[in-house]
Amino acid sequence: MDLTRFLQTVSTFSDLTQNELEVLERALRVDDIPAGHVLLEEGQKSRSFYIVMKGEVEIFRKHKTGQGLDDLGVLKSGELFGLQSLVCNQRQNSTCRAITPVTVASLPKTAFSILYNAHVSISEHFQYIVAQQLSRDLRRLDIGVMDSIRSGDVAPLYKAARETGTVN
Amino acid sequence: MTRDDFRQQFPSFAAIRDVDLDTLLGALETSEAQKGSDVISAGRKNSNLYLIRDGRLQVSLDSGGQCTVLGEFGPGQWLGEMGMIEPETAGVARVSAVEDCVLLKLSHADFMALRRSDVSLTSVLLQVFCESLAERLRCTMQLVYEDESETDTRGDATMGWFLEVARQVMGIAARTGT
Repeated sequence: MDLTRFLQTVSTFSDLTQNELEVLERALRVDDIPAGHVLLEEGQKSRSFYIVMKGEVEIFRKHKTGQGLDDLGVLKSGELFGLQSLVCNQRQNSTCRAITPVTVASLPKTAFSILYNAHVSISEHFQYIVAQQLSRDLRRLDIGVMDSIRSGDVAPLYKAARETGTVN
Repeated sequence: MTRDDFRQQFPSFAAIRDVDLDTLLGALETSEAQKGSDVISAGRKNSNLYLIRDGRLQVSLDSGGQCTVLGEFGPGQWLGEMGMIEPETAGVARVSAVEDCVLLKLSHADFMALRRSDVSLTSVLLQVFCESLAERLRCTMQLVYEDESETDTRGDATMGWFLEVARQVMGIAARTGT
């Protein structure tokens, strides 16, 4: 699969120039991952961010009671994960595991730092994506807590929380 | 406002280079808010970042005819970054001036123009906002999920807990150290 051509199909990168896509393509590493392999683990600091090229990746997190797991969804081709924790230097809030054999393009933290210093336009683009997602997540919680205040019911807030920050 | 004045009053943005800071100072619009006036109205879209140079702004929620004050922001603090970054949705809180204020305003349109002309500047701004917003989100989620298992016992304390969550979402708890 031609990586540059693939990146052109990913909506997240639609604002990058052809030159920026080529720089990003050179920095990314492509790997084939077997089904069942854990790419990012909840609680750990992110070492890379990933773009799913082929296959499916499931996301889940430990239930707060300690019993069982909360299923948060499935990532498919063109979707990213691990970017927020890389940009914000935070721990992962969920585990990402290959359901099927997957092909991923990844950018390790060291390469991300080099990109940040050498091609600030690309790293700024990632920062903007993360800032937008964080703003949406907090706005969702904002509305959820207001609905809970108005109704006196915790359900709107919990619903907002479950839809928020699915993958960082 | 000089570079030194800005850096002294807003140390979070200390990483901005001199040349980029000059650009930012040129883009910021000084506005005044009279005591009692609304800076951000509840339920209306805000697309401006406000850096508080002087005065105090109050954040409150209006519900069922009752106004609940969540907290205040003062000189050296900022609010509205979410609206500047993502102006599509309206906030739920009202922000009003509890005394005459001098604010430095950056609109979404001007921010996007800076993104085209000065990415090294917007990269620093975005890094500050990303880290701040991520911490607010992390603390809010922790607060929500820690109490989920205690729903049945919260009883009358629920409204107080809702307001605590609201403060965390809006970054009031973090910024005022409460």
